[in-house]
Amino acid sequence: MLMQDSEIKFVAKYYRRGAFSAKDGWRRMGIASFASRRLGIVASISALVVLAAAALAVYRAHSFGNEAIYEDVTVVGENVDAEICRTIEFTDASLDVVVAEIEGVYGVDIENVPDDAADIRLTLRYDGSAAGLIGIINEIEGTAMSVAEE
Amino acid sequence: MSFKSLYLPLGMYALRLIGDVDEAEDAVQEAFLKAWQKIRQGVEINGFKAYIYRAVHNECVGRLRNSVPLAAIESVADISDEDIDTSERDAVLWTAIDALPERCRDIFLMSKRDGMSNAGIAAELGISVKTVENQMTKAFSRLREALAPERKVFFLPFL
Repeated sequence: MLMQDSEIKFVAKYYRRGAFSAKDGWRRMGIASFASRRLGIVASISALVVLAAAALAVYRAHSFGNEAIYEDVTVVGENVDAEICRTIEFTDASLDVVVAEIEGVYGVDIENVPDDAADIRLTLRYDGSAAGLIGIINEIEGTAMSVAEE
Repeated sequence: MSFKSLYLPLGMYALRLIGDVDEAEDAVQEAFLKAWQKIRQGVEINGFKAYIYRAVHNECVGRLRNSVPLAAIESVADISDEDIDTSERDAVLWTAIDALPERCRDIFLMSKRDGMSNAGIAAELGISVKTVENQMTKAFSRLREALAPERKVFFLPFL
């Protein structure tokens, strides 16, 4: 491919260090914006509302670096057949730690974890299901992980 | 196709439409957010790349609609394969400029963005014209490499 001076001048005209960074863009968009409306209703653990045909488990796991810090665990309702939704947050955690946390918090097995998972760093906060979270991570990192079927 | 691989080319596409870095980046983020909302709602999106380019295009047109007369909007052409190719080339150039050593990048931008002559850059930075020329050569060499990473060099054996 040959370079056109007009192409170079266009990019040079608008170039700004740090702009259009996928990593920063992802952080700015904030995965919390994908929070399920159901979880949006549950503002505080002490005021959980049991929704028809669904039970919510609200669990907060904070991981900074590769250490996990857990907060309250509250389960409402007896039937948890519906999709389990959690709030989970990581700051600069490696993907292998993130996967281990997802498996522990959601009670699932994750398949097709890449061999270089320890080298991939993530910063995210997510409200939703394990499948949804894995889908988001696959989109960010181009991985092909999946939640194992029971 | 992942978010990471599409984000910058989409940003370049939006930039060519809108002409503002922040607005272009907002348009791309908004398009991705809306796409993911649809995915979470169970909507199946075939051909995600074409879909997201269309979504970014629509975001940009929407933003332009708020700031320019309707007649100007109607002249915005639809997406073509050439537009997508251009956005990908722009993305490669952007990444290559980003990867230049700092001094080399500064000199390159003073030349190509600010339109300064080599002598003007040399005077501004207190360096020799020769240094400016060397840095520009270095910059162009790296940009060419970035745009043609599969170029092969053949060595002919001397018989």
